[in-house]
Amino acid sequence: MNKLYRNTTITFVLLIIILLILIVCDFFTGSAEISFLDFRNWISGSLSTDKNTLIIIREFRVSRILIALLAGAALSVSGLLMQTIFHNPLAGPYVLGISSGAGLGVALLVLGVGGVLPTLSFGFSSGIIVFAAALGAALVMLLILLASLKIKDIFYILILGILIGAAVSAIVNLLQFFAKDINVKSFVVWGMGSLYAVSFNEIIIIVPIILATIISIMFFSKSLNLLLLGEDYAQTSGVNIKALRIAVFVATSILAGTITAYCGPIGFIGVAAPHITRWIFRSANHFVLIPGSLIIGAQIMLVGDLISHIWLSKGILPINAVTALIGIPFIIYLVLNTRKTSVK
Amino acid sequence: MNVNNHIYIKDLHLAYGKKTVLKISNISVAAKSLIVVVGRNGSGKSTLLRCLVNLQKAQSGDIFLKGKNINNLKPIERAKLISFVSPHPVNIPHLSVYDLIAGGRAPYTSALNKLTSKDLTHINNAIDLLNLNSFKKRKLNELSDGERQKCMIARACAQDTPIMILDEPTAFLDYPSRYELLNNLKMLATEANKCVIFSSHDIDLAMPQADMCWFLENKNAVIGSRSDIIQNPNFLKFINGAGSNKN
Repeated sequence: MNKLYRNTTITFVLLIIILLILIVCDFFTGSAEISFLDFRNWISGSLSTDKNTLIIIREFRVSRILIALLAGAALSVSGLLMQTIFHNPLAGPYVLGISSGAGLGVALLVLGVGGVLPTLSFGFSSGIIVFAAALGAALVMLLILLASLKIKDIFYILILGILIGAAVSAIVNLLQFFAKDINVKSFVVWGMGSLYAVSFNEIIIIVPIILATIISIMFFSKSLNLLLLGEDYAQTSGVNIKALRIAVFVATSILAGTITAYCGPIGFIGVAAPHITRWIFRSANHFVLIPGSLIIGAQIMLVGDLISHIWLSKGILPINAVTALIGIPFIIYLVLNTRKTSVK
Repeated sequence: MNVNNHIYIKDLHLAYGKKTVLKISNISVAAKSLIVVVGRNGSGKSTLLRCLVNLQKAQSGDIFLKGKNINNLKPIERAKLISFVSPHPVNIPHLSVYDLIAGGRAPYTSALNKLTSKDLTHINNAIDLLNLNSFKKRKLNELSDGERQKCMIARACAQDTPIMILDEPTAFLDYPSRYELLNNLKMLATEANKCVIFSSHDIDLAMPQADMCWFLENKNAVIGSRSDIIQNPNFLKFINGAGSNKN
């Protein structure tokens, strides 16, 4: 038992070292040259570096890294929670229709309202878009939550989430069909996801929300471990299933909803990161998997960001496409590989 | 009839929608008893057992565990009184047998799941009882269904509850393991003073070991010792295959 404990600790230390290396790589790459001296000057508040460089550090580099860390951590933890509560290895933060809800909120604003009011047709402030996305995500979440109080079998809630997602994309399609080109473009750009739309001041608000949610859900690790055996065993082991479901749904909505609102829908990290974590740690224990997924999600996000901006000397690839292209091969490999050992 | 016995069932009516599955007027079960529930498929064995652990609600009637109404117990209190083994083996990748069995201590541990020396004793006793010492470091997905089911039974033993409910625990086991398991259940009842209730289709193996038999037939429970039940004409029809489905 002690050997296992030591291996887990060593793995965590290695993962954190890799994370730090990725953070440094990400910080010092980009379209502008930033030296270590500039970074030190920013930290110390010294004025010997020119003002524009300091703005780039604060609003681009530091913001980008912080939001990448937050998004990776939040999406992968919510993916892990969804996989456990739905007993479905392919579940992610999106199966509950949370991103569809956020998408609907943004679509109604940009395509609907933007279409009706021609004067507003160009440029919604990011604050309003974030609000619309959060509202949409919260609405869908509330719907699912109410359903889960009525419906006992979690399988039907999964189906409900998928159906809501399908209905929402149908509405979005209709809105796009009737909308003006310029509005469709700004919606499509939101849908590609971006780590650059968030300002440093907004990040200061997101950090405590995400951290508090992840820390509180860690206290449910024991119940989540029991839930792996199925709801019958969880309940007869003393887990209050209803309370656990509500806690998990609220946490997922906050985690995935906040990130989707600010960065747009970012796919596949939520599905891939928990699988990679289980595979690295060879564990089913949420006391290990939650912090593990958090770090690995953040790493994938940073790698995605690195790829998306070092590919082109000027300009950035859509992060959503990059994360999908990194995430999917991993999932395929894991699915093919685990099939050999696991009967189920 | 004693309300403060391990289990006391009163006017229980089990139904799916309007279709009555089973009606029981009165059963009381004391400690130190091994009870086998027998009956045809669909006679309500699983439904009854699931109601006893509150996984399903009865249409009407009351169930008392050690004098407390099951509906008034918090999940954690209930988990300290009664444990359950489902008929479906559980398979989770990366979960070790030891960790699975240790999970049986969940009702007693803190939110951080720290195991005390008392917890470790119960875990090791459960592993010894089911002869799983050579298995304990293996992962669940490397085992057969029967081996996994044994682990689930060990987990329930580690939960150390005065009442244990097992739904067809012998279904996936090979013949020697069935025999061994029944001996173990008997030992849990007589030596550890537990009340053990299990359903089974292995009548020839289970009936001789059991102290009491609940024969579910035609929406009723016939309750009696082995010698009572084997004189029941309906039971004779049931084991001779002559009892056609009377639904």
